Amino acid sequence: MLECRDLRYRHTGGDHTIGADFSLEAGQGVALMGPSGVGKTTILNLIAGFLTPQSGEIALDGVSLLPLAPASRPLTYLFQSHNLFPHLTVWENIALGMDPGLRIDSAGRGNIRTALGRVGLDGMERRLPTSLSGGQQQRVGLARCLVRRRPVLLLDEPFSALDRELRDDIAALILELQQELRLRLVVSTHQPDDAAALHARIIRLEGRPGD
Amino acid sequence: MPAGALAVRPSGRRSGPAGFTAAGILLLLLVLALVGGSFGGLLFHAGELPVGAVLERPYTWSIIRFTLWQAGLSTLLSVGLAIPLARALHRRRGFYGRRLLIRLTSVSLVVPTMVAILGMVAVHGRNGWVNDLLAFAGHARQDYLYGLAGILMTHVFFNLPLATRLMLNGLAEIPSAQWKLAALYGFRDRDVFRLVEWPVLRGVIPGVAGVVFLLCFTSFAIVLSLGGGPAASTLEVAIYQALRFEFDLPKAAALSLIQVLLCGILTVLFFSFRGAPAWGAADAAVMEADRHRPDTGGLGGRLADAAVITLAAVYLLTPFIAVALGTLDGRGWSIVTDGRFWHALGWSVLISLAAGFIATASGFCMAWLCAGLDGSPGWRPLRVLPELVGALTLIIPPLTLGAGLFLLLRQYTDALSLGHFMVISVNALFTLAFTLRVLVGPVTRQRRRFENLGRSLGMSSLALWRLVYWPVLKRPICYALALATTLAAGDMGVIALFGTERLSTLPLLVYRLLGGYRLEQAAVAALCLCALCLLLFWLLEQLARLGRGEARDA
Repeated sequence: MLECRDLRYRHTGGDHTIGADFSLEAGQGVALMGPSGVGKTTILNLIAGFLTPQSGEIALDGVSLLPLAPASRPLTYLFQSHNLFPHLTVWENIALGMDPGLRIDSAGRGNIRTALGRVGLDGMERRLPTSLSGGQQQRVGLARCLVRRRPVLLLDEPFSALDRELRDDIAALILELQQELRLRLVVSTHQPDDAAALHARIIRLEGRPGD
Repeated sequence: MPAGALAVRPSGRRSGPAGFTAAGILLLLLVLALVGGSFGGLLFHAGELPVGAVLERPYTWSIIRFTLWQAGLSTLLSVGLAIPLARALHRRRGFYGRRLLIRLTSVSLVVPTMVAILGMVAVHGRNGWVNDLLAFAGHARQDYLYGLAGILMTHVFFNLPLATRLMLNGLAEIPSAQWKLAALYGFRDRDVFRLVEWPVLRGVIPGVAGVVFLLCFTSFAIVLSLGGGPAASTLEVAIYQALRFEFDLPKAAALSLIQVLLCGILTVLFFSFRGAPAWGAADAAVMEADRHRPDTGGLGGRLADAAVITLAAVYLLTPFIAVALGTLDGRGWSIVTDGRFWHALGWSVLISLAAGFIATASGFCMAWLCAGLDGSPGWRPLRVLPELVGALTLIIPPLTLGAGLFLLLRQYTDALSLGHFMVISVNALFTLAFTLRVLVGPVTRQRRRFENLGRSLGMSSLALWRLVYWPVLKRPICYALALATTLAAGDMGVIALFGTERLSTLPLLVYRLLGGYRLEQAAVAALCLCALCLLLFWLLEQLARLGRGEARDA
């Protein structure tokens, strides 16, 4: 179970406190919703370890994540944009999820091949991200998530750059991966449709001025 | 209601002060005439002694070799050292003095050359700080500042900050998400360098190296002050010596042509594949290095970065401190009772203001011309005008241009008697490359934004200028003026060529005092030169406060 208990964070010089309190089981998803500026991405950054909360607890199966550096946390993060290094090939971008030095053994190579097939990008290993469509780039990001096999997947506005049809395709793919890897999904979005497409429980964030 | 009040005011095809367009064309022709005249002067004189004959002399080859050799080494050192320095400045966000050091990297371009040379002499010269330390420790004094070593040291002093800044600009453009990915996937120090930083730096380095190489290739004052003899002389210095000391005019002309030829080849070589790097990037982005950078830990890295930053700060700051402290010696101030000092100060003010105003006015008119050509497809090639002028100033360095004009004029009159006009025009032309760069963007944007609106309202040229263009353009215009004037005030190129007893500027005075080993007086003159530059820059930027209230350039 992933728990975010009474999280509180205030940006330096910020005028309101961002807060959240939720938990989810393996295979479940939550969608953080609210107007822009309310702190959806901040919550994801807190879970990922880019920010440190002023108070509260983040734990996976009872073990606190707070003392861990971002790289040691059991999660994968799909950003709204710039998920891929533009100068590295699709294969290298996926392989980074396994080893930052790109030293991949033959078993790893097999995993990457399988992952590419799963996201429907067979034969695209050598392509550069700039030659891919927005949807294909998201698929590369998901393939990376597949090879990492971490139990938590953070998605920041995953469909903002995609049209409706593509959104449904990618959402279906995410749901498949979720079932297969028993992923806990945390999605930030401002579209109720997105939450529905991912079967995610909606959590409304509200700013608390002066809190 | 008077008849005609409702009539549409007749206007030209384009509204707005049409005079600027005409002036732009005229000025462009003037620039071409200036360069063409200089070139004509060179060709005319080179005719007396074929370039081939000059090339046959071993002396010529030794100078060409040394010019290339020192430029290559200077580039290698400046760019090579800039990589660790830029990395260290980018990833150490918290240390005291970081902002100052980064700001220093962007002002190195406008520091008067002679001030820096004097500072280097005060720190590294025979009686400088380093030698004082050596002597204190019981070692013999070393003469390491003259010849190749001194030239390289001073070139690094100027170009290390420039290269560092251009690399920092590149690093600042790495998207935040890439640093987050690096943190999430546990990149180690070398992974960060290989996968995140190097791809960006690889794109920046060729342009940076090209600029540094050309700057060192055409270096004049530094080589003149610290080099010596054919063993340590660049083409620029050789041209100067041929003109002013040997009176060998055909030789000067031939060397100038060789210089232009080599610079042309190098410029095409460096910048035909990639454009020259952008100079002014957003200060804020560079100052606010990404806080998601993961590789800030590790004791080894911390110590290495601290060492790199400390060494660079000491190397880059001590010359300035030495000049400032040098003025504390009371003896130096006797210079202010010397008529030559006031003479030089007066000419410095006059020449820099004249050159600055001409460069800014011309830059503005040409920018206006460029912006107007935007819409007409037939004239599209002319839109590269700013790059063209920039390239021109790289291909024909100031001293070479001055030499050409000198040779041209001397057929009709005593060239030295027209020195002040020559110094002003050449400085104006060289600072024009900077003012154009500053002005083209804003002028094009604002013209595109307001031209049709102004036309539809039937505003007169004057009203349009007073109410619309000046308020939105006064900031870049005044900045361009301040920059051009400051650059001209610090110039030590053409003034050396045309300087006489009756025409001298503060940089030339510093050079002469340095040559006469009067370091205390040179320090005072250099301090006054710095003060003059700062004052001019500040005053001219303040001009933007005149007239209507602030308007932002959107």
